[in-house]
Amino acid sequence: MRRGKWIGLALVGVLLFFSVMTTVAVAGAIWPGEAKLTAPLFCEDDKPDAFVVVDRSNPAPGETTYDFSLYCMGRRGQTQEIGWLRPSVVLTAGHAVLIVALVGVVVLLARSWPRRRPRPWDQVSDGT
Amino acid sequence: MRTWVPRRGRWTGLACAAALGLGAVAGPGCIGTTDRRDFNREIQARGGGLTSELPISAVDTVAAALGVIDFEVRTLSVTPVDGTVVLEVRDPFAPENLDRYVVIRGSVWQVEPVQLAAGDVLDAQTFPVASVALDQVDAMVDSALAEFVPDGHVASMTVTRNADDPLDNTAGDTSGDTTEEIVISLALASPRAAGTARFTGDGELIAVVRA
Repeated sequence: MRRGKWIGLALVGVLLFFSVMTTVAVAGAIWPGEAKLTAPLFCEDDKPDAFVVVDRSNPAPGETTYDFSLYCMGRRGQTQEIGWLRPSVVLTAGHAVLIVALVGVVVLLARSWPRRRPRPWDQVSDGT
Repeated sequence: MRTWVPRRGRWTGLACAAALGLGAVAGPGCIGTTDRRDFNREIQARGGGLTSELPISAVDTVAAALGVIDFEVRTLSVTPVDGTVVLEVRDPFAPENLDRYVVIRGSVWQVEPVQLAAGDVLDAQTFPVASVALDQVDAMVDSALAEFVPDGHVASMTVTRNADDPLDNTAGDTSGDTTEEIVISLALASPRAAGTARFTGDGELIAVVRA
């Protein structure tokens, strides 16, 4: 019982690590626009259009930083700043669900996959 | 019996496809983002983003901070693009003092005292903020832009009780009572023109003047 609890905690830790890393890699570097998927959770009804606004700055020569922030905009141009933390938390949870689903599919496929055919050296080793 | 041969070609192909896909995705970088300049242009294309919500929420925030329902201000300025509202508030508990409140997106960011000149008469310069038709801002923006150039937007709004504005004459109002009136000014801008729309405290259009 106690061992199972530790295994469960370890699995949760591994899942959390990979989902955070996925969020950092995908939303933080490759596809920041992914945060727009979370807009329906945060945007008010009169500001339905989501934008991920990037601010580029050069704090030191040769160094460029990018700050992302999710905004919602209405038809009159009124805006609502959501920021980046809350969308990131939601994205991390979404990535965790996706990872669990992906691992589940892989496990199911692996179980239903036909066993490999015996190799010649397997037969040889069986014979000795 | 057929001899088993590792199918390296399939895995190599998959690895190459994954690398190409990742390169195609990561290459452009910042996918789905909007540059700040383009974002501000989009705000301007939609009229500038000035609505009643911004000044009303700022007034409510300051009222809550002061613990009063209504209070007097000397000026109220709204810059919608960054969600900033600046109010020069007459302290309801020490009416001889004026404080500048900076409210950004509904939160008080700064409060600082305002230095008064010897000639400042707060009784003549301040007005109750409840007497301004802040709930008519949307309609004011629409009527101002309708009188301005087609691609214009509202850059800012200022509410004062000011008698020394030369635009009063262009409005044709020479009755002499303007010293007591609240004036709502909307700064209008477009790539090729600038101007000012002036309204009464009730939200009635006085004039739209090109700069």
